[in-house]
Amino acid sequence: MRGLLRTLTRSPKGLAGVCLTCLFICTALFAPKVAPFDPNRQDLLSALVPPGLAHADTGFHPFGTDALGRDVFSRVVFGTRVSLVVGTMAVAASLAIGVPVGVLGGYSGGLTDDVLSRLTDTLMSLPFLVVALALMAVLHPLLANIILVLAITSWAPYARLARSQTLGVREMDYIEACHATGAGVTRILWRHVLPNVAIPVLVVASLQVGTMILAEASLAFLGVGVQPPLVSWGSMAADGWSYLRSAWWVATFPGLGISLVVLGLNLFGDALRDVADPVTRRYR
Amino acid sequence: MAAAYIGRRLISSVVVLFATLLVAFVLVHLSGDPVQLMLPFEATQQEVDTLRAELGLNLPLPVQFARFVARAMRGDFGVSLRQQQPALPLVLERVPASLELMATSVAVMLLLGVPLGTVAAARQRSLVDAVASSAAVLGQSIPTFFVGILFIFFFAVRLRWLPYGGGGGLDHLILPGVTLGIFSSSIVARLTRSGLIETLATDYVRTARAKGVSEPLVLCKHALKNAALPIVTMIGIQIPTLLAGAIVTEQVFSYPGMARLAVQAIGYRDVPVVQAFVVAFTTVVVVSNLAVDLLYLALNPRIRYR
Repeated sequence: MRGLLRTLTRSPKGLAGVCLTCLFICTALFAPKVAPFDPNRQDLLSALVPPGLAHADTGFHPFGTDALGRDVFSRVVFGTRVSLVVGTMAVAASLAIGVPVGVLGGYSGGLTDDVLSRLTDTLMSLPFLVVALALMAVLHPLLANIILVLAITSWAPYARLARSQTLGVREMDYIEACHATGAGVTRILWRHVLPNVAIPVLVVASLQVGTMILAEASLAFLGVGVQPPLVSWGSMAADGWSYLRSAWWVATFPGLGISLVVLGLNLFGDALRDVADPVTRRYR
Repeated sequence: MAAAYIGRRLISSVVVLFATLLVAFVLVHLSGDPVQLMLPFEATQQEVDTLRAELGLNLPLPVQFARFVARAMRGDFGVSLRQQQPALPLVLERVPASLELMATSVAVMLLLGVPLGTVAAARQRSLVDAVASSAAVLGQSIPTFFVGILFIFFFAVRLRWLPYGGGGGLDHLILPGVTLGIFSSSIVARLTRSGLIETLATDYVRTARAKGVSEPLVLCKHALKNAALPIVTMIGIQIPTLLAGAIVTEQVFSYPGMARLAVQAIGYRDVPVVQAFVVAFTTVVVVSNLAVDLLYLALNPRIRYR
């Protein structure tokens, strides 16, 4: 584990990725300690205070305040929670759907494989954000629903990858040997196929966390995100968008937050891919 | 065989559209009771039952779905709950505006991405190369709406060069088009670069150089032509992403396209319009995917004659 971390941080990109990711994870974990204000406390007397100015009554707002007088910095800090939870849980849930579908199809072949592959292909051709938006339009805007909808609309790439990996593993001699020694299918899949599928799938998954965070933020920006008291960067940006002429900071800081956390995760995922697959390094 | 290939692609497009209809159908049943939405709050149970029977909502689900598909084939998605007009024409009258935006962004993607990638490949490890690859990483991290917000702030609020948003002439297309295209142009640049670097190492490029062909000509004529295939493939993969970004872009710039209509409809829980939008949007995606595949076929004789 320590060896992996050392390899990851060897390149400047990997180091930046690990640092940014850690920074945001810590911010999310210790949000109540980091944030100077309650993210939902309204104070109409100190609405739209520019960043950095100390307001006479309410204190110092490093990122300013929004139209309801809420502290933008505290809201950005609490926003990391929703982003990271949705990002990781949505990826975990898509893995939980996609990997079994892919492994099952790849291993059993025949009709099962045909049906599952068609399903996967069809889902991959659907515009993911449109379907997610339409589903969220009619579902209650709960955190769990957002995670579920993102998972349902984005498991197909994992299924495809897991299937192709399984196809490669299936013909190996040691799987044959397992059959010969009388191992059951469940045991073969769990002990011998899954570990071989896991590494490439996890590398792709690490790059998808950022994509899921962007998707959540986009849905929230379009008005189907989580509801208060939860804070979403996407809805903050949507609020700030309407005050852009008078108060640039309301939209800018949450936007920067999303960009930095996704940048960190993407650099981290890139470094992970380079470690897992040295061949691709040449072409980049 | 080209015909068999086209046939296979057509069938899978039809399957995708069928799946879209299923998604659109499911929407009504996820939204709670559609009858309650259509009737005033104080409606009697009898009125509710009558309307339910009228709409066929008391039939078994497969029958309802079959009826839904049959109606959808005729372009009938019901009446917009808010505007009291047929839903599909409402969406369709916004399609040209959306297509204009999408076409602009594809143009931006190519005009920015291909030259940037070419320069980056020709001058590996130069400043341009570094800028292009950083832009690619950044482009995948910054959300579309934030790019839009930044553009509005600098070019419309501060510099006052371009309008904030809305529809109208060409000047209304510039900011949204660039916002949408810049994201994908970085990916196109990255692909152009890696494709060109591979091609530049081949024998026929060395031959061309040995003949004394000038470097720009080698790059643009000999190498770029052969690197075009993976770029076209990638553009095909990028188009759905690009079009999905159009939803957010239309919203940021208050652009009068179909996605903005749909987002407004969501605010009013106007399910028929959302359904019509999902089907119309997916059709655009499916058709453009098909077009890219046919272009690929035209560019790559190896597929054509197999």
